[in-house]
Amino acid sequence: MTSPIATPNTTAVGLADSTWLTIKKPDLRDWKAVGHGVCSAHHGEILQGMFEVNGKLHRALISVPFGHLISEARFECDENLKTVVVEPRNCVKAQAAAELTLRKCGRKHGGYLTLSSNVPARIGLGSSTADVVATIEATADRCGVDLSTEEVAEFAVAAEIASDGSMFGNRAVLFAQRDGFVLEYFGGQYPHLYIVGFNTDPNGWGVDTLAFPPATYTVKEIKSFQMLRALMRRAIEDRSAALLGRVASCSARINNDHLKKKHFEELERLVEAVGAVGIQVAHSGPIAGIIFDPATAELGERVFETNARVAELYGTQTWCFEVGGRRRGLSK
Amino acid sequence: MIRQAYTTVSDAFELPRILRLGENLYAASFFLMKLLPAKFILDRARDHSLIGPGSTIIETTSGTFGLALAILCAEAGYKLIVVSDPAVDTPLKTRMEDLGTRVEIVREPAAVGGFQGARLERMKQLQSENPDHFWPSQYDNPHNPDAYAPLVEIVVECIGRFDFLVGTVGSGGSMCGTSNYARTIFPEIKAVGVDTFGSVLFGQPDQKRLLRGLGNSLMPKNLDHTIFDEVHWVSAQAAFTATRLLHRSYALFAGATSGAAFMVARWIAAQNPDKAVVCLLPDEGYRYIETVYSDEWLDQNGFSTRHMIESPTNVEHPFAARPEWARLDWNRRTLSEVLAVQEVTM
Ligand SMILES: Cc1ncc(COP(=O)(O)O)c(C=O)c1O
Repeated sequence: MTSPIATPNTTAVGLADSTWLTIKKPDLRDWKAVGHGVCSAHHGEILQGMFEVNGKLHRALISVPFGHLISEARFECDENLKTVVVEPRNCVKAQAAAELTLRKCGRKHGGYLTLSSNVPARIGLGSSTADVVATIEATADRCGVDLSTEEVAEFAVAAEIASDGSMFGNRAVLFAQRDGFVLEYFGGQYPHLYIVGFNTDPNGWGVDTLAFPPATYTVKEIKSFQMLRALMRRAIEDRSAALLGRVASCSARINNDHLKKKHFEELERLVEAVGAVGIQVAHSGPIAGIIFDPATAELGERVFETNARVAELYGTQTWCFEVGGRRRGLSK
Repeated sequence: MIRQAYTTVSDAFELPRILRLGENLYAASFFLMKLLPAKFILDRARDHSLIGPGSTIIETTSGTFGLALAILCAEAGYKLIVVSDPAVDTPLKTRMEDLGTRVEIVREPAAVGGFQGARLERMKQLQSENPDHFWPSQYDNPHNPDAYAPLVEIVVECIGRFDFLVGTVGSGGSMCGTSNYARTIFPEIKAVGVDTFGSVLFGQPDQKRLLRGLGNSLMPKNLDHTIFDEVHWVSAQAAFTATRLLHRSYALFAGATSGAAFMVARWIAAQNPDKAVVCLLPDEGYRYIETVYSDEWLDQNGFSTRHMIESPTNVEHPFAARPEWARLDWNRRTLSEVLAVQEVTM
């Protein structure tokens, strides 16, 4: 059999009876006038802490995917501009991310970046990371560069110092948010979870992620994080909502000693009282979620009860969403 | 995750293997459990600049803690002096000495605290002769219990949730540390302590003991009685029988304290078929080849490992505990609360 001669700019396509046809690949460098990128928010964390790798400690987290809220970015090159002009103007982290991505893609010029997002800022839903990741993707898309998720993560951290793991979508990873790499891929899918989310400080000002110093954990707390990471592996392997709920609750409790959530102890009791499997919180904002196993009997009543208790504690409404498993609306 | 080559023996051997011995019975089987606390204690001392290359470590032990220290000190280049008593077995002493440890044997027991008291006295003497020494102090150093998170880590990774933790108690480090860490995730876990007759740990009067490695003549600070839901006392006879059964049934070649823990865990697993039971097996069988594993030795010393005792006798007070096997519902009480209960003579 003769093998096709492949030049760097051509792709060989095999046809049924091994006749070969070579087609010219489009030149991706300028094939699009506009690059597009999109990234969803997250709903705080399942696990957040400090982890040891080869004797070095890294801050890392496992984000809760939250596909209901997204940021979208459009990017256009302009050879006459040296910098990136961003709209809305206050998205400075995204602007930095676009400029960084351009340089990484070998471009010396600037361009126009337009963001549209329905992710509320400062409450721990990862609005800034969603903007930054969408921006990096849009810019790379415009430049015809296909970035891996790992590269997007690295650029995001380079642009905004600390990024959440949103770029990994609904893949469970332990992401070092200040180092920009993945400490562990948990393989498998999230177990099916039903989460009732709410804002524990609905009238507050929220939090600027970089404005407060990161928690200093004790040796014992770091040991506990290591245990929770191990339990996470089992939770994913067994697709166990109950075990995953434990991971989240323990992480939330340890972190509550560093960044207090209002009425946290009441929330822990609420989990028991309504038969939920755990509580998850955002490390950089007042968002929290009560986690249910969707297979729990009388889920509707339990959620109703949760809503009532949350309203009592915080005077606010809740929202519900699902993670992992086979979601409603997805056919078999 | 990718497996890496280990760079030290202590790293390679510190974690147990998790074995499923029955439907709801699991064992954490160690080569040398004491590597965990010994390493954690020395690492913390190094972090706080209490020790460095060439430092002298002085400890009193006649058990596996000494061997763990000997391994770690040989690796790190620390000098080690271990004060022991005639009960130290030859295999242990041989290995420690080969690793460069100076092993000092006290010959006479003290008036109070027996050999353990005498060892402490001799150690204090050596410590004043070496003013720059470091004393790991496994009985009182809080870093002993704090060392056990990696055990919980491997157990929860292998089996997820569990309901009972069963283990022997000497310093209290392994049971108290493991229970406390495990309960940060699963607060409902029941802790079952295994002691032996003639040990003061759970309120029995001090007596000469034939079963070594668990029990104590002095009360260690690392023993927090309030973590225990159940306490069992087992005799040497019962523990030896169980050690041999463990070997014959599963080819699991472990020491006598492992036998004691296995015996209790096996019974608990049978009583609670829908609960997961984990027992701690602290060391391997080599040290016991001439004793527990020798029918001749057993015979000469009046032991018979032919009949496994199947269940314990329940008692309300530690004074009522009699060989071969007694059990008390401790219910997370303090020792004085338990001792304050009126003794019912049977
Ligand atoms: C063989 C063996 N098993 C069990 C124990 C008891 O463990 P702990 O001191 O953690 O209570 C010891 C303690 O020295 C031991 O040497």
